[in-house]
Amino acid sequence: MNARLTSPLLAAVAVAGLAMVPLLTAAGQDEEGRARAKGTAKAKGKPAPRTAEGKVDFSGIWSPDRNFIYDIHDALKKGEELPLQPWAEKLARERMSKDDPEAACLPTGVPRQAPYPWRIIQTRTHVFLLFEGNIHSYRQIFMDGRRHPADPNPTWYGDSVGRWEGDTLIVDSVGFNGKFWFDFAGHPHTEQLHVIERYRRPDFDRLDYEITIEDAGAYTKPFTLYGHSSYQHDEELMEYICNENNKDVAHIVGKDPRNVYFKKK
Amino acid sequence: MTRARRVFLPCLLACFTIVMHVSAQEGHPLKGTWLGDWGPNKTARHQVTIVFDWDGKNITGLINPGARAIPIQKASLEPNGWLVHFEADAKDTTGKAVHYVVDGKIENLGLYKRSIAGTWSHDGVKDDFKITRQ
Repeated sequence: MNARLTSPLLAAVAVAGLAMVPLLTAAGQDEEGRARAKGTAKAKGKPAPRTAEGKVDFSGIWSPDRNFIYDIHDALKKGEELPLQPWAEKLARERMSKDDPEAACLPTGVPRQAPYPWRIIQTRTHVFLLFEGNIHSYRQIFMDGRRHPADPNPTWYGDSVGRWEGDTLIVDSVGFNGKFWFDFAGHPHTEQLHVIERYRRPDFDRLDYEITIEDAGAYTKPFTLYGHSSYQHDEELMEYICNENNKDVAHIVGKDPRNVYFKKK
Repeated sequence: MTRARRVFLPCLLACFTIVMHVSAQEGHPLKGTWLGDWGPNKTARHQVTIVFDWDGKNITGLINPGARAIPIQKASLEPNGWLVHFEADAKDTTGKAVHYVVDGKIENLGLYKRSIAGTWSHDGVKDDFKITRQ
């Protein structure tokens, strides 16, 4: 065929092909979306998955629990109060949101959660908690039977060792610095902080946790917080770099109102 | 001013500003190392380093840690007004025993680099002092 004739024909086929691409892609996406939705519906009510070793598998993306963001009072059992030492209660009442390390893009520590999803990655030797925010960071929990170091360097996430009690994952953490706040309300702690977390996955979609806080430096007795997260189907962690052009701090005025002190004023 | 200095100085200032923003108050308000001075007037000053600790019940600490460290006694923090009190038995430059009674108030509680200012009494004299957390 003459080149002068074939060229316009090829061009027409190419243009028609290109015009089809968005349609094909959209159809593919629809199909994919339907398949994913089907998968989601399928997962609802399913039992928790298990690893090859028979342990409950906590892996996946989980939602934050608001009670671990605004005021940990909300995560206590109904009728309970935080057993704050007098100085610690006064400090919590006076702390202003502009001084919250979280607002300055520093880590949230434990047991505080940021209002962003997080992922659990579980292996035989480690459990990792990957955080989308407040900073793109992680916690590592050693599952190899090791003990805490005798004198750990104080850090934001502490030193965490885990063990199994039946289907419950128990995480014991010490070695925290005193820099982070427990919540937006400004509840303090000291370097004496000892956290014991108990995680359960009663079904595919639900993660329950009980978190016992021991800190004789700031509280008169241990107390336990209760929370849960929902499995986030078809989600991925996004990249979030809080300290990139962070302009919030200079504009934060007063105290976040979502706390018991505003109600009790 | 050289070009390098023109760039360096604003950068240095920006760094200090950032550090001031991210350094918030942490844990027990007294815990940590504090530097400052005390004395009868603006020119006659005694440099002082104080390290405070908190075990959940008691405030302990040292004035000028090292070979001649002076243990702090009767230290207290009153949350209402954030009033600080401590005492110490020391020796003056001639070796004579001297008892310090120190009363102050925490300023800028929300900042990591908060301060305590007040009176530093000894031998019937009431001097002033100011220390800042490091």
